[in-house]
Parts: sequence; structure tokens; C-alpha cells
Amino acid sequence: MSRPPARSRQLFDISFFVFVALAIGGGAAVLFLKGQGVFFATLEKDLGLFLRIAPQVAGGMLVGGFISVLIPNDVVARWLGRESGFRGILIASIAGIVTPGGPIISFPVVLALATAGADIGALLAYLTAWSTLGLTRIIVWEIPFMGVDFTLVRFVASIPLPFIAGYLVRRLPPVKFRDLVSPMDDTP
Amino acid sequence: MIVSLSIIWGLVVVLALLTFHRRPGLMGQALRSARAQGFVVIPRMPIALIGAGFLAELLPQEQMSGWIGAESGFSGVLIAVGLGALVPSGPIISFPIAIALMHLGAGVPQLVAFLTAWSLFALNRMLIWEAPLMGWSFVSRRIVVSIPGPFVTTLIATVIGSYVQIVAG
Repeated sequence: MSRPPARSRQLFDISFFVFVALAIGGGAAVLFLKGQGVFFATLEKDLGLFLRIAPQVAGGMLVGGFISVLIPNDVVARWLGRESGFRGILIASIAGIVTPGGPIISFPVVLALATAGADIGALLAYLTAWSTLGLTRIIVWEIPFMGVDFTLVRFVASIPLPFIAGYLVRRLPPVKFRDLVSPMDDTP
Repeated sequence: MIVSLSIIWGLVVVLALLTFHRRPGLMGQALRSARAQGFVVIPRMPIALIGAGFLAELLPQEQMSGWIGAESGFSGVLIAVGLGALVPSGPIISFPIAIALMHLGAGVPQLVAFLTAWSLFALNRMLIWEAPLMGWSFVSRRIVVSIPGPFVTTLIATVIGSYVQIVAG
């Protein structure tokens, strides 16, 4: 409540207008190329999708909020911080593999870890492990669609990825977290 | 959907109880943090979902399959990486596409490349979640260090495939 102006500035930045332009441009192209029927069917389907996932999104934000206050900054800094080396990347990768749910959970968690002082290598290891090795997606989607054999081979072949991403990013210039919404903003 | 909703809100309840047990004063801090994130993400979601939906409508879905057949080799892998990166949707769309590609003769290496590229670069996830929450400085670095990913995975899968028969589907 204390700093609403900072929030409203976040609300309408450049990326917001990029989304608006993308939706209008894509919509116009569909309208002209595929006709009104497809246009309105797509619009209805995507609005329905939003209404169905919005309650999950709200829950995901709360998960991120609670994790940010439950895991103290010094714990994150010790296990995943700048000096965490191989161990930090390994722990982050395992956390990524077992994180349940989709981006609704994982991105709020990444944000919470980033603001608590986690190292960029650990953050990328977490995201890479979650997206390529995450057990939820494998169980819910990949095994039913692709079969156990294929899934197992893809899983084994993907094990190096979090380490590659984590080590490579530590060699790049540091991230500027200018846009980061810090949970600590509201701490007096 | 009911299952994932129950899992997420079950997790919320457990974490809320843990937070309250730790120190009731922490509740307000957690809720403020969640609200700050929600204000950034939730207004963007319907717009990004609609935009991604329109883009998916525009892709030539039948032609895609011919380009990444089992005989397509490295160029097929490259195309599969490009396709995977551009699939503007979650698993609801990408796995049906993978199955369609498989039925049209896509090889295991191309399928691995497709799914890995989609996992790492999924455009909609980037636009809806990653950019609003983490900023483009973070996103651009993650893209750069993820580029070797699909190729490393495809190479390892191809090596495994030369020793054992991999059956997809």
C-alpha cells in the first residue's frame, strides 16, 4: 500500500505495449487471412484459457511470496549465492527437477530466490532443470505422449544442460535487475 | 485443471501455515510480495495468451512435418530447433505437434531437438512470465547460454540411439 506509484509504473512499461502490438498484429493477420470465424474462435478460446488459469496464477504468486519470507536470505546466499560453485548449481538443478507445476510456480520461485541473493548460475541451472528435466511435465505429458523409452533417452541426454547454462552464464556480464519487483521494497 | 488447481492451492495452504507458525508478522510481507508480482503479470496474461493464440493460427502446421523427417539429418535438427523455439504455447500444443511430426516420419534426434528447444525457448512462457518478472537483461542471458542445449541433447540422444533402439510413442 505504501508505494503504489512504483507499481503503476511497472504496469505499463515497454514490454506491455509489445504484447499489445503482438496481439493486435496477430489478430489482424488472422482476421484477414483466415476470416471472422477463426478470429472469434481463437479469441474466445484464449480468453477462456485465461479465466481457467488465472486462479492458478494467483496461487502461484502466493507460493512465491511465502517462499520468499520462509527461506531466509542468508540460507539462499549460503547455498545458492555467488560463492556456491558446483554445489549451488547441483542443488538448484535438483530443486528445479522436483518443483511441481508449470511456470505458475517456477517463475515466482526464481524471483524469490533472485531477490534473496541467489547467484545467476544457480538461477539458470534451476530454470533449465525445471524446463528440460522437470518431473511434473514428464509424468503428466511426455510419458503419455512419447512413451517411456523416448522420455528416458531425452531425460538422460538433458542432464548436462543445467550445468552448461549455469557455468556459461557466470562468464557473462552480470544481470541488471532494474525491473525486478523486490519483496523487500515494502520493508520499512 | 482441477488437479493442478488443487496442487497449487494445497501448496499455498501448507506454506501459509508454515509462515504463520514461523512468525505471524511475516504473513503481511508474503502477501505484499505476491500482490506486487501479480500486478505485473496478471494484466499481461490475457493479452499475451491472445497474441500467442493468433500466432499459432498463422503457422503452416502441415508443411512443418515434411521438413524434419528421419532423413533430414542436421538440417532437420536445425529446423526442429527453430520450430520448437517458435511453438507459441505450452505442452497442450507442443506434445500434439511432436506426435504429429512423429507420425509424419520425424526422426528421434529431430524430436529430441524439437522438444528440448521448446522446453528452453518457449516463446509464450518468455513473454508471459519471464520477461515481466525477471526483465530482458535476465532473459537475453538465459537465451544465449541455452543455445548449446538442443544440440548437446540431440548429440547424446543420437549416440545412445546408435547403441540401443529407441522407440517413440
